[in-house]
Amino acid sequence: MTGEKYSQLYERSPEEAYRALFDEYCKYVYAIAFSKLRACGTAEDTEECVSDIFAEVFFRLDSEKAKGELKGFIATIAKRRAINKYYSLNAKTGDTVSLDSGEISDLVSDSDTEHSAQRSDLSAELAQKIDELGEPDSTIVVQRFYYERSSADIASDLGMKPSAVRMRSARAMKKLKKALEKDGYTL
Amino acid sequence: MKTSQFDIFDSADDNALEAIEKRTKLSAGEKDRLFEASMEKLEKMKAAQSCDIETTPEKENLSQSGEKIRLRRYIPVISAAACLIAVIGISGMLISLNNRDNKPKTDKPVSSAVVSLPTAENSSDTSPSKEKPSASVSEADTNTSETDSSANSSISQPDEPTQIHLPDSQVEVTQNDGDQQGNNDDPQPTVDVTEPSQDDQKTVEHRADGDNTDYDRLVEYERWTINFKYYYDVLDLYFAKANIPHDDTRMWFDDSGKLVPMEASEDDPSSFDCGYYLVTDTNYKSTEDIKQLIGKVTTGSCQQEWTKTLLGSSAGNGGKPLYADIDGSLYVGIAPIGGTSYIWTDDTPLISDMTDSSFTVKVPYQAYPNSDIYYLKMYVIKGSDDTWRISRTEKQ
Repeated sequence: MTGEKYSQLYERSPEEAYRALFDEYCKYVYAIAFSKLRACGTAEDTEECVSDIFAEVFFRLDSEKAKGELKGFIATIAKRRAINKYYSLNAKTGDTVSLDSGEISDLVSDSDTEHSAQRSDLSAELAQKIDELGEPDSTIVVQRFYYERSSADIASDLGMKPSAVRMRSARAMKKLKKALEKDGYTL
Repeated sequence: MKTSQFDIFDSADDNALEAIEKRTKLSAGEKDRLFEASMEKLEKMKAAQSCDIETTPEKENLSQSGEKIRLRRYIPVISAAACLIAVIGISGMLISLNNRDNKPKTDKPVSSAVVSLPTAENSSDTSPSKEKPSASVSEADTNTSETDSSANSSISQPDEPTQIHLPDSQVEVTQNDGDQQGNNDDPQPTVDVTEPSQDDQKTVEHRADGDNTDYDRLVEYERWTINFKYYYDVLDLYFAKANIPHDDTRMWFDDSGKLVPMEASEDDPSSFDCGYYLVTDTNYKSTEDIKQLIGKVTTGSCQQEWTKTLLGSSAGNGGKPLYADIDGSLYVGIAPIGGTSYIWTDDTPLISDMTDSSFTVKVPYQAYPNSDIYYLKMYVIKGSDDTWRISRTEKQ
């Protein structure tokens, strides 16, 4: 959605504009929030973060005239909010590392850039292989192994039986493993 | 070889995020909830903004100094609260000290042992004996334990978490259920399990004599095949066992809270799914219901085989029964990739070799992961009670 389109909708009805923007980007924002908070937060934390993000997006758009594609603008707010949430959650659970402690040295690595590039390659490779599985297998795999949702929930979303979801996810994982092994990766 | 896990998507770049986004599922209810929460937060932000504007003379600098202004506004409140807490704390300490001084020495031994200050005699001892305090403590401990035990006897323990626990003894009983099957004297309907001889197996064509006998019989057979539902049910209980309605959130944990696995497959990424789940299908409340169903459609060795397969301790999947009674409920062991899964196709079953007392049915089915159409040939015979049951099956 562009800023101009949003403004048009907003002039007609702010509520309608909020909802349209939300509907278009809620999955994107959820994916961003989840990707940052997956390791340390609960589903509720992710949901809270998503609502924080949208509240800020709406609030800013109320006062600022946005132009062009809004996706980048939303992504920036989403990533920043999610990172803040990540830090606040880790501060609560005590998973932070003090700058005074010796542990900080463990975090420093000469190969950070290399490692980051490798991660990026790996994630792109995995994303592509998942794409190649085709539907509904790719959705099942992502939902099952990334979002860690139960077979019953996935089945309910996809209109399938839980057993079918299990079966397909097991087969898809085998396929995925084989495909990645060919390219020198293990899963 | 580089290793990748799904957490590789954590903090993923935009391309990977898009792949994930496409597969992100949010129900309408979840969306509505999130939207409402966002709107509530937006309202709060707007309210906070208008509040700030009202209390701030320099409106033009609001966006830059908003945070500072908010903090400044709370400083008097926070200071007052801190003073109040300090006053209450000091008063409390004074009151408790006064109470302690006035406390009679006939207090409970536990309290006196714990809070007693050294007496003049003890304090004059420059080398404090370790025995005296320890004696005092042990006395206190004894009294404490007495007090605790009496408290425990009068106060009921909180409920255990709603995990499913089963003592080992029950596990053994359940697992031996199938073995006990052989000694089960429950009156099952009996039928003649003798297979029809070749001579008896005359086809309908050979017997056609112009009357409606063969037609009626065909109708009867076909009508009976409708009741294959029961046999399908039995087979479903085995082959497509996860099809039975069950509660994915109610799994069987042992006493230590560990999941009792259906099969140990650490290499399998989905092995965490392999466990016993609570059956919610109202048709099956216990293994006895399954036994009855098997008895309804099978007979003789077929009945024994299926009972053993579904309920016996020698069943596959690591020697665990597929179905078990746990804490009075029926649980199904689900191993998602533990074998072939069957899906019945819509094709009409083929009836052949019809006689008065037997016929065979070929039922087409699709087996995953092979995705081919197979036939299951079932030999159906009529017992003395005029009911048809399956005596044998063959995969073709």
